[in-house]
Amino acid sequence: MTEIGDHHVTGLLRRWSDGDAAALERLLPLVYADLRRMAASVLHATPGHATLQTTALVHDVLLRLLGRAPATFENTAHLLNASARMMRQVLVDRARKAATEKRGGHWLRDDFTEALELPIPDGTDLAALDRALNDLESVHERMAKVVELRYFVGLDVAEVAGALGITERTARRDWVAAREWLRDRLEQPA
Amino acid sequence: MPINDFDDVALLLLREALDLDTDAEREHLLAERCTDQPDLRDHVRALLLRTEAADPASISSQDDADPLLGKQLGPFRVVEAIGRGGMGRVYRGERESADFRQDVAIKLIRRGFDFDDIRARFLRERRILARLSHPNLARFIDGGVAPDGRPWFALEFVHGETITRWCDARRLDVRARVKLFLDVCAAVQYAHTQLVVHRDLKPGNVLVDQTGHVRLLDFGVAGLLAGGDADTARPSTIGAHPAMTPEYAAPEQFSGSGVSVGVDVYALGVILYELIAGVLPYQFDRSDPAAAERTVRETPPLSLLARDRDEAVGARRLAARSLSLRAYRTEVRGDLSRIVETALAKEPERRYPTVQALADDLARWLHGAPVRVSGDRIGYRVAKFVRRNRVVVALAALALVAAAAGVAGIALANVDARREAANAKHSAERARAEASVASGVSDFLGGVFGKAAPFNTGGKTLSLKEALEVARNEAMTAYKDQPEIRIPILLAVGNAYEKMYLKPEARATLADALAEADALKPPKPLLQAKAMSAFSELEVESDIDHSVSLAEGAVDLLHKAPDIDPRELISPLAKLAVALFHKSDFPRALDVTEERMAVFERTATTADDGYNEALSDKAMILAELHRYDEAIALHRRLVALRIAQAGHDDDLSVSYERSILARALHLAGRERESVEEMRRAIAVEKPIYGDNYRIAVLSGILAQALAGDGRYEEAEAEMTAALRIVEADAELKNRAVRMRASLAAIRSGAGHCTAARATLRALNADFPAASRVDEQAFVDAMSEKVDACIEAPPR
Repeated sequence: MTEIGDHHVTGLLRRWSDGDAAALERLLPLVYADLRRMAASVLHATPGHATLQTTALVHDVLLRLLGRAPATFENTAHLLNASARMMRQVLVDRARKAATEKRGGHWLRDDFTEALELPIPDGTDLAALDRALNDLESVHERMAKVVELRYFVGLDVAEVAGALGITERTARRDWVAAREWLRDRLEQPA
Repeated sequence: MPINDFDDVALLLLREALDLDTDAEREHLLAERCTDQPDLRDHVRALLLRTEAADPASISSQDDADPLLGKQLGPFRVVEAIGRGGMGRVYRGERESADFRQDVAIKLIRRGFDFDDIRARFLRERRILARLSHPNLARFIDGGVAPDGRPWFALEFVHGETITRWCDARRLDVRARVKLFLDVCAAVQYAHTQLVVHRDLKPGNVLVDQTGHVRLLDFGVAGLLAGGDADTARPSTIGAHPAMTPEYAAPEQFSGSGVSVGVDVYALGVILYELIAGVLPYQFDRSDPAAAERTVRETPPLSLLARDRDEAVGARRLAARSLSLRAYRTEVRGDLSRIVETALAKEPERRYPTVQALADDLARWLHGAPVRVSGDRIGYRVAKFVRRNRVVVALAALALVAAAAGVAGIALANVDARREAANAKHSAERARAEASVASGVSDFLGGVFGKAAPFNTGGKTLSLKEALEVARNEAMTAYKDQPEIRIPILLAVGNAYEKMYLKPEARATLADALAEADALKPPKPLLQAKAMSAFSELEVESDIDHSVSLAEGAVDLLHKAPDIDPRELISPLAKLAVALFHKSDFPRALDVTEERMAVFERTATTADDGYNEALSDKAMILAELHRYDEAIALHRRLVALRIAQAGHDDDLSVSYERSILARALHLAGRERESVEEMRRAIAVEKPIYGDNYRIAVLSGILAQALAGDGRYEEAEAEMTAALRIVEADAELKNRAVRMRASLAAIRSGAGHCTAARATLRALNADFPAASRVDEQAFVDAMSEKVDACIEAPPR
């Protein structure tokens, strides 16, 4: 089925660049939903969902969020990796900020995270996850990428495989191994 | 940090173990690698167990359970999620009672998105859907508010197959498919009468249910046509256009143009095409939005009769339609192809004006009656050129008026008095050559121009005007009884007026000439034809239908008249081509131009320069027909020819051809080449003309090409320069409307939103809506771009 309408995106982007931080929290879920549909359409080659307008809009929004010059994404995979990086940054910063304001720093279900629909387990300490991911990256870069695309873009395993150009089986094994390792790691006392 | 080393090794070992297929192999691996590290072995073993315990299915699922599942919404139980969009969610719901079960599709706003504005939009959508009731539309069943406060509505859940698959499965032939398709048209037409457009019609939304009835889904994107909820009637930003499916989207949807019936007519055309041919009218790579957009906007749809590159496709098509190749071709050739082409026209105004009109033609085709498309078509004019996709076309159209004027196309835009004088002389010479009836004419004109010495010495336009006035008056008195001389003089004078933009004078003079020519007894067809084609040229910009019929009349007269030199047809045919071109009837413009070329060929006069002019016109028409490769090749040939004739590169005849080559390249999306050619043309012409209207037009096209290439700064500079020229001349001031609107769009493309908005504001202040009716559509299109402007980050 179709959208109710996402004519807010440009307006939100404008508000955000005018310094309205709350606009970003409404903006990102929208852009993200589009980003994933776009990814699904490109990576699964399923017709009908992502729209060209959407694609262009997502590109534009992300480019601006990332502060890049236009047209520097080589392809969808590149865009997705950049998005994962950006979202990781946004969420970790947000969690750190929350941690200084009250107690916590954990992945919490609020309206924003709810709307993002990311498969990050409830209660994850994002700062710790960030550190663990850095470690993971130094041990096994591809596995870290898999986790990033899963957690911070919300791609499913097949889409992750498509984005990284690996087989689905490999992606799945990378994913389960990394996930268990991370879980174990995060459960350890800091 | 030992703990990290331990962890790292464990991770690599875990990963390696996962690549092994059996537990035994894994145990073996662990035993081998962890001989003296029992901790490590135990740790990896634990990780492995947890990994296996994780349900493989949950790995790929989004795994957060939807709290709505299993819950009750009104009389319905929510059974499963069946669709999700940016802000909406769709579930399948069930109502169960003792004697029946009802399936519904329930739509509501996604959690976390229940903001006031979105909610208002959702409720509006609900109201629209509730008011539609048609046997071929999925019924609206119920609506309410969920426990968490989100409004919802339920539509009939249609169990069915997409129309394309349904037809293939039943091996319906083309006629049966068209018959079924008429039901689709009926449903869409009904919605249109309720002021609702669908905007996302595609086979996935057109199902055939178990009883064989067509059912349309997903009027959820519906936009209102007019009235009622006025605020949706004119969406102002790109995002206001909800999901579209590129394969079925009309060209104007890519640029986010407003809601119109034309969008649905187009999508119906694609569905009809697909039903007939089993393939889509365009092939494009949907992962490349820009290329897909270009394809849809600029290339003609593949012919329904095109041979398939893949023979299997063709064979499958015939098998699914129970037809032989010959039978298929017989059905599709001619009227049916024309109907589909009309529905798929790039410009909304060339499509069927309503779905009903499309359905009527299809019904006529089914009954073997003549269809309407081939006959008289919806009148639509050059002024509406603007609605074409590219900004530049509007500018190019202006350039073309010049180009097509024939005598001295280049000079049309030239308001410089000296150039005008030269043109007038040129016209006079021509008149002299043509008016063999009266040798007195040339002497007379020569005399008049001789008297009007000032313009020969760089005087003002006014002197030329005065000279023409004298000529006109003297012709009326001195040749009172010799219409054969008087009429050609009036024609020459009228032509000269026209080249000077003195339209009222030109009109009065040419009308006199025409009336006199018509009144001649015995009739003089040649003179009449000349008067008619001169008047036709004048009417191009004021009354295009009249212009066409005058030129047609002239050609017709000459065809019927005995003993006429066939070369006399050349000029009226050229005028007719111009008129048809401006009427955007490019197929006929091409026919007429080819007829003109044939005259040269038949009379063995292809060495005449008129033949090259015809070729040049043909190239321009080909570009309009989206046959860019042919157009560009022909333009290039003419450039080379002009260089050879002139003996050097920087002749005006060369730069003229170059400028229209640049335009064709721009239309073809080959912006860089376009920029290069246009720059060369301007470099030649500017030193000669100075800042005149033609230079402004060329700079405008150049600006558009630059913008197309993403070089907004350069584009802005060119457009600003063009504008400066136009605005310095009171005569041309109204031409500034489009240029200023384009400038706003370019600034918005560059991310200079504030400047873009200021440009638009100034435009609106200087030209109130009433003063720019013809430009309004264009201004609207540009305003939408500015509305959607995204500010560039500060450097």
